[in-house]
Amino acid sequence: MTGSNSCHNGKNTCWSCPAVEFKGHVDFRACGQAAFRKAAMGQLVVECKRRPEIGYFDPMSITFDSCSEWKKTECGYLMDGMKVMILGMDGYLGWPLALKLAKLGCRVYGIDNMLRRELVAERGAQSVTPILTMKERVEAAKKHLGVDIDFREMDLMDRESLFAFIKEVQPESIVQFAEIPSAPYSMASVDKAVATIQNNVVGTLGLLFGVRDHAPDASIIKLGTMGEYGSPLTGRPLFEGLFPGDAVLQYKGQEWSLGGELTPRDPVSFYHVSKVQGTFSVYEACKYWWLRSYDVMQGVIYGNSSDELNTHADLNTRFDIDEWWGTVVNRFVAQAVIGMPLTIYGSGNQKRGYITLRDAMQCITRLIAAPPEPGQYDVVNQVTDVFSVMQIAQMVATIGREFGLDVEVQRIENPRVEAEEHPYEVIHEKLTDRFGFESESGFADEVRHLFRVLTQPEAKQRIEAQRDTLFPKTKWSGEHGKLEVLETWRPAA
Amino acid sequence: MKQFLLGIDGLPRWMWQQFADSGVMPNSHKLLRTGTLVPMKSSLPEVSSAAWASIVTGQNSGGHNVFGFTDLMDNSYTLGFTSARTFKAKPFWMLDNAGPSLIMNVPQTYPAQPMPGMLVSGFVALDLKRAVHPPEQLPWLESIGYSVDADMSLVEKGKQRFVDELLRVMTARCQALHHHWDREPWQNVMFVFTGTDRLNHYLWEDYEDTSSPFHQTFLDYYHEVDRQIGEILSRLDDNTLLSAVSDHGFGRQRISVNVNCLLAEAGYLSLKPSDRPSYIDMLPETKAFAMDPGRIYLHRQGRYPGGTVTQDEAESLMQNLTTYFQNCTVGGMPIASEVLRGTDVYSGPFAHRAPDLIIMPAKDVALSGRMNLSALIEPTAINGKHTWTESTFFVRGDAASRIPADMKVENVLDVLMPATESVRKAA
Repeated sequence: MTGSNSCHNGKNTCWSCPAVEFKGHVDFRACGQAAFRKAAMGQLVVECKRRPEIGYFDPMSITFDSCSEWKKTECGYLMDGMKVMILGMDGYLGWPLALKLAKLGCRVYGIDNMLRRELVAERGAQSVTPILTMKERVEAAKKHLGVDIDFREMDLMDRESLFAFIKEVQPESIVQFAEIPSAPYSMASVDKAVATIQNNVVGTLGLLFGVRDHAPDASIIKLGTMGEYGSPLTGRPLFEGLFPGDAVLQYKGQEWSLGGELTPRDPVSFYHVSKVQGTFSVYEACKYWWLRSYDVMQGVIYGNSSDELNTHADLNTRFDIDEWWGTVVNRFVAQAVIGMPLTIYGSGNQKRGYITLRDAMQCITRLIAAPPEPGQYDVVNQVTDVFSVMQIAQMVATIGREFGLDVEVQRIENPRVEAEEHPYEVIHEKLTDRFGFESESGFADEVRHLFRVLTQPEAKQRIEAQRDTLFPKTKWSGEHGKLEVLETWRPAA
Repeated sequence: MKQFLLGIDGLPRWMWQQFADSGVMPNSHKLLRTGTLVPMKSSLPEVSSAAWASIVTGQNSGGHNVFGFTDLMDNSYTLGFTSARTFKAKPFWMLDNAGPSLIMNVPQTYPAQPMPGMLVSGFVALDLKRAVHPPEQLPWLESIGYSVDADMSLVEKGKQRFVDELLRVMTARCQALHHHWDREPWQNVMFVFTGTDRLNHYLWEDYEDTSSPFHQTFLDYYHEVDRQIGEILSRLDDNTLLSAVSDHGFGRQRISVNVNCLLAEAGYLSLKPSDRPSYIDMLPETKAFAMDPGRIYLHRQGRYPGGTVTQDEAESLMQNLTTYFQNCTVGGMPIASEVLRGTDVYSGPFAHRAPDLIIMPAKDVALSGRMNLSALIEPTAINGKHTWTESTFFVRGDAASRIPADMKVENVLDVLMPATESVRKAA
């Protein structure tokens, strides 16, 4: 179930519909002089690939709520049988998104090179919730949800195969999740840093050329991260990627408008550097080639539930908890379950934006349902809450007690190079104001759900088996050696 | 007898005669001495899409359903663009016993429909791949660089660059004509020069201003058109009836007035806020709206989803609008020479889709009906506009005897193909 403001996109017009093909700009005041560049002036003329019987028309004159191809769903109007291609479908986010979209009636296609499974195994870690092979998952989706998913094992870097797949499918939306998503991994060695940059930067760049040449009307949902912004010590708000229209730069008595410009980026690892580069690549592609994209600056994600995932254990998404591949809330719950102190880096006052997996899937779906216009690049900050790491530890410890767990918290030497005391004001208005997003899952409920799942014997055993991987070892400085424990305590009830 | 119907889009009758007499168009000079040249009235309104549709069907817009370049789809606010799909009457090449026809660059024939012969669509044609019948002729056209239209945005790069493009497009088009003309013994050939219209729109001020550096460019373009006419004339045999038409006249445009701005100012049109306003943004209190160039539609109940104008109030509303436009001035200039009733103008099975009123623009004034209400007087590089009167009709031989006193575009086939009249009316 989702919020009441679910039809955020009913009044969007065909100009933002990926089924519409730009045909030209025509000046109808006189003799219909035509120009064939999107940048030209004149009356826009388009044709609908799905409804060619309409002929040529003004895309502004049909809205989603009046088009027979767009059907009302819990996430707003969604194009009937919309073709969505998910790159990185085997991942923590890719799989639940595939299930959600398929259940909503989309035709879902996906690729993955299965690298994440390999890298997690190399680390000596594993998904706490067992996951099936992709072949088995697709079969399970058919069996338990009655949906078809077209998955192909493929590397994002294999451009020949990727482009052929895009050409074959003609996707109407492409979700780019196929990136190596770990800050500490990217800081662990030169090989790992290079692999991260290579996959994320070059992979995304190649994808953009493929979209340009084979599916130029597809909307690109590109996953960025709040970490691209860093945490500016000045307290400057973290706007949604672009400065608002009334932002002004003052310098030596003069003023300049900053409205519409990309906000400063201050990445906090080489992984985040790769994400920043991805942002610029997508931004430029929209400018050069009239591609369209939403860049999703996602907060730290946690949880493992959605309506589809909860249907059957065979539909589990992966759930990692180790230093490299897990995220902080998930790891804290796992640590609490096996009686390991929750490890806080440095002061623990580092603030970050957070969002549950369930909410993130709703946000992404709403973005897919309301594509940008051709040439439009926009950014959303996909977070629901801002917490310090210390607050999270406190809350997890408190909820853990409900499950009979005696949770300790431990401060350790910070392995990262980051500000530990900083202001943090995240602007996150677009998803609620423009896309009708309403959070369906709060922190406490989601963490309780995690405790219920992770305290099951098999899950507990799988956490125990990777206990050594939970405590951080990777130092941003490149130094080696065990991180010093600064203090350990039991949070007050 | 075979037919060769030559179209010269936007060429006024008086200008053709003037250029023929002055030596700009020497082949035309010889040609015009061999037949009858008369002024002709265009369609109402005087737009190419409607006028060419009338020329090739012998019907007014009420008969062929082309009232302009744009129209709202029935019972909706979807702004569609008229095309071969919405063109509802049979052009002469589709009539029984028409014989094989070669139809090149006739406006309002896109996308190309199956027909006995070969057809390459004229403007507005947005994709050559869909402008050719039969499609197997496409590769050859592509190989010679055939373009469905010149890119108007080249005007931004300068008038000379634009005229060069017009010349390039015309050269390829004429090459295609001769290539395909040779292929078969066509019963009918129709070929339209359309670059003349583009030239007139953007360089009319240069034509009028003899000191303009582009004045000679304007004349040179017509000289080249005439050279191509000479090539065509040299190939005609005595068994071919030659005729020539243009779809409307031309004159100076000093201002372009957005009629929807006037309607909004006068309280007839209300739009909800929109970044890119369109007809779908009209509020129910809207009483009337305009479409290019000066077509006025009452927002009638039953005709439009949110229409509120009842039959009872329609008459007084039309009277008020007529008075309003007849007295309306913009920048000190009257905008209308006359306001016509749709019911007085159109006849045929699609007359019910016609505009309620047609504003005939005053001298020097062009009208538009855009929903972007940001500018009453619209900025535009266009400085030449269509005129209802003084389009061109020329024919050789006995056919001239059939020219009516008040020649209109829908009479062209009556003159050229009188035997088809009963078939056309039945169709």
